[in-house]
Amino acid sequence: MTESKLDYNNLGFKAGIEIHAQLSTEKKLFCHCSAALTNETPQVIVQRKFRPVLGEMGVYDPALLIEFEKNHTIFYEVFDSVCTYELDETPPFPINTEALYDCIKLAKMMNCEIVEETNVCRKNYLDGSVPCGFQRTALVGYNGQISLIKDPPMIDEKELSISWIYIEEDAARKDNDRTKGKNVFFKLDRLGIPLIEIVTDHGLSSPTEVIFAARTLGMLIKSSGIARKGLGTIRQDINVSIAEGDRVELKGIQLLQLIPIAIDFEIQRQLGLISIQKELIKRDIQPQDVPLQTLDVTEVFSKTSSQVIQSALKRKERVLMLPIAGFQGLLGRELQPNKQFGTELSDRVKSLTNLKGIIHSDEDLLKYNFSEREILELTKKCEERSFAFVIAIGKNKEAQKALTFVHERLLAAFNGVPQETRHVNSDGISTFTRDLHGRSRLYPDTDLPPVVIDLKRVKMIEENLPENFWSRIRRFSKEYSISIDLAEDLIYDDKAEIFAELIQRGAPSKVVVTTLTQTLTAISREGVDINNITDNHLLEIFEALRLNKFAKEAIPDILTNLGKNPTKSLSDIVSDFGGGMSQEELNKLVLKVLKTSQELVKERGMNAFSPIMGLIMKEARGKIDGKIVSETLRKYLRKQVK
Amino acid sequence: MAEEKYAGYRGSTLDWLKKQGLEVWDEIEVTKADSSIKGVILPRNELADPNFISLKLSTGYNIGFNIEDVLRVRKIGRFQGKYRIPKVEIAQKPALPFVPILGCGGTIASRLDYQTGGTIPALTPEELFSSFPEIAELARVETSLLFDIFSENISFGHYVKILTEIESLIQNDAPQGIVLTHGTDTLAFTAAALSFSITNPPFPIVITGSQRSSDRPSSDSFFNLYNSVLYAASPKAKKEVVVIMHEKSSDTSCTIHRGTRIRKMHSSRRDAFKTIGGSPLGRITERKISFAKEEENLSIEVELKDKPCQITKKFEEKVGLIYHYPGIQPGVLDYYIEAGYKGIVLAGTGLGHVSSNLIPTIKKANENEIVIVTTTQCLHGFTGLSVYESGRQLQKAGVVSVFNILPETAYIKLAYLLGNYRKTEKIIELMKQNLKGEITIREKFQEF
Ligand SMILES: [Zn+2]
Repeated sequence: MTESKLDYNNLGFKAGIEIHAQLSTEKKLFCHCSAALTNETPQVIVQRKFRPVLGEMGVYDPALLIEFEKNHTIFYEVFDSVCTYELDETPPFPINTEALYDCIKLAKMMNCEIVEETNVCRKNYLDGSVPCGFQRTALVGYNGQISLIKDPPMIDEKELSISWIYIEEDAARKDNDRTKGKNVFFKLDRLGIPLIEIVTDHGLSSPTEVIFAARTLGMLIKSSGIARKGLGTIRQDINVSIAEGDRVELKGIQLLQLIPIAIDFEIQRQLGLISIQKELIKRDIQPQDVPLQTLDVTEVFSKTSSQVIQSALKRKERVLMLPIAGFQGLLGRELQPNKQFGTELSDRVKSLTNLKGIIHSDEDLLKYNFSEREILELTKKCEERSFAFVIAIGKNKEAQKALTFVHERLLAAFNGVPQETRHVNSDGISTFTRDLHGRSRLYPDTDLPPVVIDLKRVKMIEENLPENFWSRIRRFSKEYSISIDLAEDLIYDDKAEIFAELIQRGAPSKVVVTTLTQTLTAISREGVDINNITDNHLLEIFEALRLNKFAKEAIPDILTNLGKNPTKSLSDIVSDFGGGMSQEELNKLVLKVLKTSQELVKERGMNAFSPIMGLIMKEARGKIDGKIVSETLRKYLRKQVK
Repeated sequence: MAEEKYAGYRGSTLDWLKKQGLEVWDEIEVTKADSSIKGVILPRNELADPNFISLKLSTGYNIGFNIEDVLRVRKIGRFQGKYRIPKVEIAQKPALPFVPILGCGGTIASRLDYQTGGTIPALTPEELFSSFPEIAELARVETSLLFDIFSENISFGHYVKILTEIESLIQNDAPQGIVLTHGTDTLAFTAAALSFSITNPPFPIVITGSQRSSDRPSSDSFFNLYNSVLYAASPKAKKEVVVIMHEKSSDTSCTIHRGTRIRKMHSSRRDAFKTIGGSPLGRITERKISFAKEEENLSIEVELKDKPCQITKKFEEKVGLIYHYPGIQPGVLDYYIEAGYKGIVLAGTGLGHVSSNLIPTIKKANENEIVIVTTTQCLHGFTGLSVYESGRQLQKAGVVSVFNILPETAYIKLAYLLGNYRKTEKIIELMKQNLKGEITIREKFQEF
């Protein structure tokens, strides 16, 4: 973990987290389909359009209107494994009580109060991820508390307050391969898988505490035995704020290690926005100095050599400009690495309209191939006081809308940090996704009557709660003579059971540990879907290894291959590696390669070792230990060089 | 409306609220054991468990709490939710054709009751129009609410009300076409009633509905209504009663069905409506209307097109529709005879058969001048009482076989004929004739 330069204490840092985890029930939450993902090809594609509906108070949620105005067409990939419920063609069946009471079990493990009568509510989503246009969700528990686990095995005194625990249906999976422009594709298999959402209070006071909280909750979920295993089955969102800033939700953080990095970048961003706010005060600029008055500057570019604008003009698009008083230099202020305040405006436009972004005056306009004359004319169009401007290129209405969003964001700059939801990329830097949702998105689900919770059943659950995960870690560490840290990692990563099984079957413990803790993570980072690698695969691999079907070096390649070709059998994959290689076969191979590389040997002598080693390994990789290959090659090469 | 304060509460919870001096929309803090929760008291669905009080939390979620072990309750404020749809003033384009929309209740015009959590048919066509301003691009639209009830409660009186309204529109407004929004459950009956009662309508009469209420983002109501108005406003449209609904599950096309051959074939799907025993009249895809070739509709038009428009508003309400089942007792028919029914439609098995133990009662009914017709439960295919001996017995007893008319359409047709004609022979003759495309002469192989 890199040390942060920020003084979180002084900044009044506060954070809370929301954790989502899929439950491992057999069936979905509101229908009787199997709660599993599929690799099938879709049987049918169903096409839909969504419209915003009025909320309880007779007004449209602004975020929903924005989604509607994007005018997306949604396509659903329908599989054999889903039914008419997922397509919003059949009303929901009564809630899956197994999932409901699993959620209650977890709530009890967090010492929550249990709601006595649950009411399924609807949460509107117009992005298409739920075919009804709303996700069904219900509050199950509240006011819980657990001890926050810091460095093992100490139990910290700090209590983590759990505000709410919900049960809800997971949304459909976006199909990024097929999605293009305004046509958005979703796979319906994930829709309806039971999901729990745990929301903590906003009382975490440092990034480290946030990690501990995420890890503690992750452990708790895993030790409850009710959650689905595998990568991506637990997702965490983080709410952060500092005293002078405001609440921002960071979504999509996949790895715990990314948490402090993402928080650091976000707080830097908030500090940057606060400094812009202060600078505006210093410059004596008021919101009324920044009216929404746009100019059509298409004419300026009538003879442009800027390709961006040329092709836009061909599409009969317009170039609109918003002159901005007093923002010169601020648009270019860096808020996160390579992300300026101007990027915030651009990200917003990208997310809320169909435009690809904006151009602003603190950018190097020459990079768009604007001529000196064009730049001068643009500057002249602005009033004297304002050297800053933003340009949007698009159909008149769309460009106008984009500048309206830019204007809204500029006005928000006078208040420092706006409340919003941001997506965290794999480097920890975040991008605007939407404004925080208001409460008008929730309303009761008329399709389902309230469910009275069976208190006797709750009592029984309470009396049979699973082993506290700390004692489990200690027991596991002792039983297999491994460190507490390793035991914790294995349990956290759902690898404890397979680890135990492999060790019992006599697999070499060092190789098992490396495979389970490092190899799988490494290949997953390279984009291999390790969900395709089952415990059975691992058992088979180590059995084959014991029978010398391949060398241990082949494990990463075999796992990669399995992850990419889940339908291939392990024996096929192993035979791709040609089975093992004897010393004799290796000797033959080395001599053969040396023969074809004589020129090289003559030229470079012993320095030809590396390139030749590479050639040999092409055929020997995974079949025989690399160390043996290099020893053999060195022996023969030395002979030749002499 | 004193009880509004306690809307939906009864028994122990009602007593408790009164004792605590609390009412609906009060914001309270309830303490139980060592934990408390805050929220607003909501009205309660009368059908829900009477021992709980509904609470809306600040997060927007609703829960119910049992009053039994409440330690302490404290009123901390008051909240009033008012749901109304803003009526948007839409600039109507005078050059566009005039298309009135008549609201007849149902899901297309229903909305969530935020108070009780139920769906109620309360969205007026006017409100609907303000939610769908795009319709103003198609036609000059005027909306009026004829009645506001669930479709299962619609009956002959409502048909008369619709017919009267149409009559007045013909006389006073000369619209390009009209659209009726209707609940889907009995939409096919209304379509048949209007088809038989209006001869040579001067404009297209479109009936539409929705399977997902308009309060849902995924509702099919907009697409159906949009295409219905588009059709009603089109000079290409056929001047007859049609039903326009989703063709598929996708929001891509609508089917134009003839009002007498349509049936709701699924309880909840968007594409529930199907033309039975033939092809639909046409479809609307991407705002383009296309008709199937006329012969594909396989209907014989008996009606003379040069006759003036004529509207009758009479139905015989004493008509029954009996679904035949194994073990049916003659007493079922006896009831109708004794209650003075004038006509009975049997949805018979297969070719239109009923159990032979009904034959004596059918004879009795026949002697009482009750018209008995038989149709097939199979929906697809023709009745045929001459094929088997049992069928011939039925014919002898006086049962009239009416080809491939759908049971529901036959029921409406019989009510219409009994309401407008006196002579039994004439009624039977017309029952067997194709008046409005309800009987098709050919059945194409591929259409099943
Ligand atoms: Zn399903």
